[in-house]
Order: sequence, then C-alpha cells, then structure tokens
Amino acid sequence: MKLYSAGDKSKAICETCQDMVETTFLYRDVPFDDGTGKVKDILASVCDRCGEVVAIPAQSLPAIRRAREKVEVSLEAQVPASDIEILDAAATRISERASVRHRKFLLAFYVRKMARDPQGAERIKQLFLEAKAAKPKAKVKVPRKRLSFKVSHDFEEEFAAFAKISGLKKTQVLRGVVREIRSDLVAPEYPASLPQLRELVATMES
Amino acid sequence: MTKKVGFKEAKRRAIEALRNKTYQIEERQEIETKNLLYGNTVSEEDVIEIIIKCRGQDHEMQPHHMVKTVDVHILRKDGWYIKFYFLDPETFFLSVHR
Repeated sequence: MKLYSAGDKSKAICETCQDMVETTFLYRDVPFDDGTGKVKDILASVCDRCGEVVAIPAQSLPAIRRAREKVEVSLEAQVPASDIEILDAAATRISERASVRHRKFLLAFYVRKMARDPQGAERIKQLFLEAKAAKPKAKVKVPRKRLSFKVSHDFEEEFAAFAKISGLKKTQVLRGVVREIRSDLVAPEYPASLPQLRELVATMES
Repeated sequence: MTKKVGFKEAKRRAIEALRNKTYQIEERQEIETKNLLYGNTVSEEDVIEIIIKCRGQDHEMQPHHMVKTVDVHILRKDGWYIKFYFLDPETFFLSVHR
C-alpha cells in the first residue's frame, strides 16, 4: 500500500481549471455533496493552480467511511406485534443480553445478505406474500407496533435500493425479512446461521 | 498525454490499484456520496470481484469529457457501473455505482 504524505506531488484532472493539473497532497475539510456534513482534516489532492480539492487518495477512505457512519437516519415501520415477537425471539438466540439493538443488527444482517443475493429481490417478494397470507388461527386482531431504528446513511440507501428493485414498500421488505429470520433462525432447532451470528455479536460486544 | 491502454491491461491495472489501495477518486470539491467506494456497503474486494467478471463486451472506452487525450474506461456488469482512467502512474476512479 502506497501512502502519500502532506506535500507529496501528483497530478489530476481539475473541474475548475478544466485541465490536467499538478497537485499537492494537503489536509483539507471536505464536505459531502448531499449536505450531511463534512469530513475534517483528510489528506486530499489539491490543485496547484486553483487550490480546490480534485481527488481523494484511497488512504483517506476509512476516515470518510467513519464520518459517513455517524450520519444516521430513521427507519420506521408499523408491523404486526407478531413480527416484533419473532425479532425478539431471534435476538435471544444470538445473545444472552438481547436488547432492542439486536433487532436492528438482525434486520441489517438479513437485509444486506438478501440485497446481495441475485435472487434476493424475487425471494423477498415471495416472503412478503407469505407474511401477508399468514393469519392467526383464531379470529383475533393482532395489534400493530412501531419498529424504529437509527441506521447509517449507507444502510438506508442499500435498503431503499433493495426495496426499489423488489417493487416493494419499505415496510413490506421489513415484513419479508422478518419472515426470513423466522424460517432461518427461529423455527429450526439448530439454525445453520446461528454460530456465525453469535460470533459476530460476541465480537461486536467485546 | 497518456498511453493507450486496452481492456485487458485496464482491467489488470484497476484490480491492482484496488488491491494495493493505490488508487485515487476524482472529485469536484465535494465527496460524491453516490460513489459506493466511499460507503461501508461495498469494499474494494467486492469491486475487484465485479471487475474480474467483466469481459470485453462489458467494456467501453470514451475520452474524458474535459481532457480528451485521457481515455475513460467504463465497465457495466450485473447492474454495476464502474468508470476509471489512468494518469501514469496513478489510477483514478470516477464512479462505482449500482
């Protein structure tokens, strides 16, 4: 891995100068283009002619990713109380100290897993239809409860993209994911995913 | 002036730059949040995997819109859109989108 130092020279294409320019690596505060803040004091390639930031070296990406993580948005949905019970049951399987944040961890884990699966969009549609069709045995009204999480901007974007390609609303995706958690983690006596999830949670909590 | 680089060489150099983290990302004064390399959802390894899968028909070359002598390489694969160019010895990524 090549690390640049402040003062090192490079070149880049500068939007302001509309030309290929000589640059110098300098520490700069660089804003996000969506107005959610800025990353302070990262090494950036700065145009020697106009003084604008023209490129970001790979070594500055971890700092940008950390700053991006801090930008949180709300993800909210009204779901049947039974969905919350499934999430809580799954949470108690992955941690002895199960709490609300384990619900978020589980949803994030399964959403990301399914979003990266080429068949994920089709599967989530099927799962949502199953969840919608599942009725209580007796004719009783199941109350709806609010699920609310603070999630990173990146996760929200991935979640929204997954909902879009699936043709589902966000609440419908969440319901499908809960259905997946039920069959993958709650229903089986020895779930195949359990050792990996316990390990992940234990690492996060250590 | 930049040396003409064909698909296979462009692919090799892009993978090498990602693997060794020797690349830069072209910016216009701000961090373009849509570029997935800035986020936590996509790693360099994920992008390498996509590039490895690319064949000649997934590749296109266009002159850079500002500096016409620079060839921009565009890869489209499985819904991914990856755009980069070389200013020797540097590799610059313009876009990693999905």
